[in-house]
Amino acid sequence: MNCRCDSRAENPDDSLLRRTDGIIANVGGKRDTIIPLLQALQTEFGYLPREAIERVYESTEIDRAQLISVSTFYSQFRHVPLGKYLIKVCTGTACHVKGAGNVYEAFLRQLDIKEGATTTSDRLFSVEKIACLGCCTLAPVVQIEEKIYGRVLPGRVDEVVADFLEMQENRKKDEEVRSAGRIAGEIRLGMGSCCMASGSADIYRELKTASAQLGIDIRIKPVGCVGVCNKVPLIDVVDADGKIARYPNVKAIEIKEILHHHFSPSGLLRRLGNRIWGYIDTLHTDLTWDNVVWKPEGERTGLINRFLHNQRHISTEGYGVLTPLNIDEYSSLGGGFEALGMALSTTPSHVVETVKASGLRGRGGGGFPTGRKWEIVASATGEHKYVICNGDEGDPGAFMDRMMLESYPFRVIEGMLIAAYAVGADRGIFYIRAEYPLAVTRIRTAIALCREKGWIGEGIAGSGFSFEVSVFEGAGAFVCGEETALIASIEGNRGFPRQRPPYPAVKGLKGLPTLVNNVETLSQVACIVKHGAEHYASIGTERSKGTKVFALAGKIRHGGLIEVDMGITLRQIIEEIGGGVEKGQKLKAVQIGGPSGGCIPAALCDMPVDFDAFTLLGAMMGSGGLVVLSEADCMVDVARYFLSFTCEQSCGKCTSCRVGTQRMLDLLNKICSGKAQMSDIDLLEELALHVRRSSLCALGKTAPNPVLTTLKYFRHEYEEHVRGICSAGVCKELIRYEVTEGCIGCTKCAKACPVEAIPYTPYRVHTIDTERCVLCGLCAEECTYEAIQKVALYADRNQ
Amino acid sequence: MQIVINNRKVHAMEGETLLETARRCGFPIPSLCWSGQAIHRSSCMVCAVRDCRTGQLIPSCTTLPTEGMELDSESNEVVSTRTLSLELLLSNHRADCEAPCRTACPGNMDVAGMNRLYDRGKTDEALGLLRDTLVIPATLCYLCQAPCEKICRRREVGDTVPIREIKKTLVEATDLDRIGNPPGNGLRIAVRGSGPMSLSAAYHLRKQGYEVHVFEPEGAILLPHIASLGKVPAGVLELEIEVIRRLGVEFFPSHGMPEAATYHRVITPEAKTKQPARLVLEGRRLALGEDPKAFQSSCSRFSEAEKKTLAHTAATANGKSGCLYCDCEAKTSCLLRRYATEYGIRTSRYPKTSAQEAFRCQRVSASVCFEPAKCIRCGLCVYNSANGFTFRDRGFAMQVVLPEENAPHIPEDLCQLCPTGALYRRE
Repeated sequence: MNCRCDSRAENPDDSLLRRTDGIIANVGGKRDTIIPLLQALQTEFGYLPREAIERVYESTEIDRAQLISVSTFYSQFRHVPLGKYLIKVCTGTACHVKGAGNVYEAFLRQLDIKEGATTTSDRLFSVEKIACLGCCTLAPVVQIEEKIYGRVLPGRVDEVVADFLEMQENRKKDEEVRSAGRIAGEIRLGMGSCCMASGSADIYRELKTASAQLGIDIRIKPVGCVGVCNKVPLIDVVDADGKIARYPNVKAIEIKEILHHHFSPSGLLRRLGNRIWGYIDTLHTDLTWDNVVWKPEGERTGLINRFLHNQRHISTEGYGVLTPLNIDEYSSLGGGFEALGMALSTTPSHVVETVKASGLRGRGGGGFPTGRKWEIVASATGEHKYVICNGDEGDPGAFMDRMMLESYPFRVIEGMLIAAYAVGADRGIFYIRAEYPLAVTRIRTAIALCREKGWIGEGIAGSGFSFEVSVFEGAGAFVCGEETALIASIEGNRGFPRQRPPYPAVKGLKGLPTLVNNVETLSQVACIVKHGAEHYASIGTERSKGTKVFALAGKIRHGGLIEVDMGITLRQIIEEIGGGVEKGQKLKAVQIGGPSGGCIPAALCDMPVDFDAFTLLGAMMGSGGLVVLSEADCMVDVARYFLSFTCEQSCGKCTSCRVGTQRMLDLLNKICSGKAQMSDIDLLEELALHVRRSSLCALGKTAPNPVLTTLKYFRHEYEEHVRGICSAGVCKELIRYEVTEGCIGCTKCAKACPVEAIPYTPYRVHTIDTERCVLCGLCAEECTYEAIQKVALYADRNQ
Repeated sequence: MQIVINNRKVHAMEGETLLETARRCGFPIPSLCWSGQAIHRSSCMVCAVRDCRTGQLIPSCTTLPTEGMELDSESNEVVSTRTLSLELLLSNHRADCEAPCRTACPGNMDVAGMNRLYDRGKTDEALGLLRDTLVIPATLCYLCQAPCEKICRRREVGDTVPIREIKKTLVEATDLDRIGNPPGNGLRIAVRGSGPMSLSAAYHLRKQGYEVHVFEPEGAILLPHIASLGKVPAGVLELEIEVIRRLGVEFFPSHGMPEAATYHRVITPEAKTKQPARLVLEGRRLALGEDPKAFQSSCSRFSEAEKKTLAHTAATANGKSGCLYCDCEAKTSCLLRRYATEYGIRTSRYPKTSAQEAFRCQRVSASVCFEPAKCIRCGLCVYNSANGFTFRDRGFAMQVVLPEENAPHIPEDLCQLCPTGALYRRE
């Protein structure tokens, strides 16, 4: 009998079209739903298949011109399928200064990916560079699917790949074990993205299995970002008496010991069994000899306390305690929604006045007075009004918005509700980068919870105020942090900023008055309303009020997410909170404000944190990335790094930004390769000033800042490069590696070299074939005798 | 509404942009990305003016006047901003304004223009263009080293266009009987000598309406290059002199020259070169004055990819000359070129990238072509076509593209919006 399977099996094309139709029916086919539609298609197929796109043309309002325009603008969209697993190498600022470039190349070599390609021949892995994973304190960072790896050195990429593949195997076997019984205590575990990157998820699993195994019933409470990113994974153990013991940098292997120390297993047999378990563990692992529980409390947490001293938590109030999605806890512990209630009991104009009097300024970068903005929106008229929370944090080296959305979603929502009430808005949109999936999920859940409790919807808290909120996922474009570009993207267009006036406050989304406020700005609002404008205005400097959240990263001993009063000096942040520059190096500069900001030299680090003071120095508060640079960093390279970022992120509309930043980059590349002339430095400066002067949006106007500030404070480094010298040894075209006499011929370097540039010559001084050498620096890193050194390739042309 | 432009009070009308007000009041402000009523978005900043109260540079093409506004449209700061914007655009504008054969020609002959006419069978017009430029074209072709043929783009992928042969063929078709005598303007000019420079000056002055007397030494019409005259076959030069004679130029022996005072002007050419075609050009300048030197964009060397496109174009070129018409169709109408000339730009200080392939030409319709390498991304064609042109990618890599499927949606008059020669009508 003939097999009839063929006729029954669905044609793969039909299946694709059927799925596409389903998605279109679900998301909608209007011109302004193009971004969510493409996102849904990509989630379904992993990329945007041609057939699906053709289907979109056939059955929606979206035409070819719009689709090409939009799908090629946002970096999220892919037009070719990738390998099964995607390795994202973070090239954010912190990762860059810690050698992300070498990590990327190491992956390509490790996976044997041919030049120009990004996918392995068996289509198992694809490698791509991404702007920032927001785990700056763990730099260099790599993400494979959902798993984030921190501190990935080029020599460790093989382990990372192996670990990931092993995890894929184990995943299938992984089971959750549950048990019932007396609650012995609570363990709080940070579950922000950074914490996850450092292995929180593993700790969480281990806590579950270990507690089940030991028969201890504890509540494992995932809390938001703990801020102390350099000490994660970090757990707080709260015993039945409410005493807290803190364990920084815990390892999964130590969990059982910690649990044992604090809690008694239930049941005698189990206890006995566990004793034996513990005994065996002690015998068989030498790790227990140095176990964290034996260390005195002070040693365990001293650094953390120092880190936290000098901070003030407004945006991050309840840090390490609040469970991100526990709305009752937010209300009871954090006094949440109290401010909203207070606002609703007064008039909207009173709220606007309070915010005005508080002196709060926009935290997104420009520092525009928030109250003033509210006032404009409040006085504008329109059928509807919008409040948009700008969470399109694209600055490579900043992750405070992500952290706040992940850890304190209710505070941001409350801020938005107060803002909406004050300006008379009835619709709200959270604009969050799709690269922050955890933040998106948490905000969505938090919105649903608020709706359940009556904080969102019709007649909020019995008042006449009604408000609806939705979430829009940004598709990956730095420029969309600019409010007019952000609005353009919600409307289904490329993120081209438009000329202001008219300001969005008057004519924004769909032509209606729109208030666009940054995440951090909104998260300060509740505090202002609750404690009054006067209290808030007492914090900070003359013209910069309140606190500022910074992502402290780079060459710092204790990086992390910090919230400090305005007016604290940069040096205090670095020395007192961050514990100084890592490896005992000297501070060279602080890069502040990311690609829009600038480099402030060490000599000027006594400057207080203040919008206007930073602007005066040529830098900018920006979104709050604070990257510490040491003498091992090359300032020309730092400028080049930021410029290559803005160049790629420029929307392309205006000439001076589109072509100007590219020509600046060309000049910087020339300078970094030692091929420039002194006149090129002047040409660069002239061009930088031109781009600043004649760009039409904030991205273009501020893009030259990293170049202009380094030219201002570190011009000698530019001149040095023209002479052929990069004294920090960063610019690859100006250095080579050399084996010194200290070499004993141990062959470690030869084994480490990924390109076989060091011949295997045991007991003889090694040599490096400079033709083959790719300057990855692995050999120098491996060498125990410091016998491999970076030296200048050229003699100084002036001497 | 009153506003002040360059310290002069002017009246701004309702709904007008600053650019329109300024132009209406006689302040010349250039602009590229703006085109009258068409939908546009400021991008090029070539129309920049300075708001004196804030010190900010603003695009005059989108900014509306407000009461009491004070603007400056001609200070050094404004001019240097415009110049730099133009330079940046030019650094990414891979195009030849004039074809290489013309820039190489010592006589500045518009070879591509001639070939176009020739290929369309407009022999008279082609010959007219040729003679109006080179005066004695056939003779020159025998004397010249023909840099035009050496530099011809076609040569990179095969044989050069036989430029000299085409010229000779055209000259052979001369119909002496049809050469008219231009009406006189009542003024007489004497030209001394009968070298290429004198002949050229005489030719052009006569065409301007002057009565022209050429006084040649010792009664014979001679070129100064007697030695090289052997290269020119008998009858060639004679024919070309006859053409000049038929125009009404009169030749006299030099000893018979009357008092200079009897002439409106006496011209004594001073030859600074021996290159005959160059001398013809100098003679033309004596007669007509100096041509303003237009900005010249030129493609540097062609990449391998470009050579492939070139080979394809060469293989499908169907004119009888085989010319690829490498010059820009918009060379006289291109605003980018016009402003570059006006702002005294010789060449952009920034090296050109070869990101875009020169010579790639997309057929939009039978009469409309699109050359992406010349595009300055102003977006006028994108904003003003429905499901037609669109942007692709972003940043420096951003391009204006026309998906093949969208070509039928492009109206012919969209070409008028393009400020350069990227989108144009081809006859």
